[in-house]
Amino acid sequence: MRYWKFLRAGGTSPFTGYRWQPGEWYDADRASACHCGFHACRPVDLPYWLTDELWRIELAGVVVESEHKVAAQRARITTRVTGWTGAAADQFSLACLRRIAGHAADELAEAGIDGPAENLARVLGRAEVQAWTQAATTGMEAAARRQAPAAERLCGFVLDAVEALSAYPPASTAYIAARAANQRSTAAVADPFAAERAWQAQWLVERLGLDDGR
Amino acid sequence: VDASDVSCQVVLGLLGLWHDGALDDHDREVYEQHLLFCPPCLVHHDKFRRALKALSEYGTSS
Repeated sequence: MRYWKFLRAGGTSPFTGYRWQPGEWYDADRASACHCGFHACRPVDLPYWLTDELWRIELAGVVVESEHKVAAQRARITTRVTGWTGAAADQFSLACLRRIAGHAADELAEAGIDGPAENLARVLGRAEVQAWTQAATTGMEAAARRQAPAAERLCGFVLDAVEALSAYPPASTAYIAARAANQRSTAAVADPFAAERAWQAQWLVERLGLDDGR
Repeated sequence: VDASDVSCQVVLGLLGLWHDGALDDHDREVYEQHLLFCPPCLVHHDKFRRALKALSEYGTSS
């Protein structure tokens, strides 16, 4: 099994600020899910921990798996995933925005608000932020008039995500997308939030060529 | 605390407990995930961490 670790710029831990040295083994007294040990991601965990740099990490000793991460007694980062660049992060954020707009368009259509739904679906393939904003605003206004709160809320999520594209990191857009999935009035899966996170993980695995080694 | 829908107010209430190592695994994870998608809360976390470090260094040197 292969694992990855997100670090902030300069190879530092996101929360403690500790600077990791590539190739150097680190030891903890014991591994538990959170308090001790070194944290790492399986592919499916990646969208929960997005930040600036992505590294391959090797684990040893006791390794404890939890829902969204693993913790290990010993760890070392080895090589940086060079594909996780600012441009890749922007593409990921845009992919998440398209998912949010897709949820909003589907919700509008299910509420019988066809014109704005089709309009929003049409802009899915376009990159101009202004078109997204306009379509989402029109959809939100129509949903408010028709008293369709889920559709109104989801169009609002599109606007939030458009704003996040320029001002916030990809983790923000990814989180908005997962919350948007959770807001659908009809869901095809039991846990839409987790399903959206799984979609994001798949995007990252395919785009970055990550192989879990199994 | 629900990881998929936690407010900044709740997260900032956990800030001191995180630095004390007093959060359980679930709340710690909720706190940390929130910081990554909420830059303003991450700024508060970093400031608090730097302040604690400075106080610790001052206490050691005095």
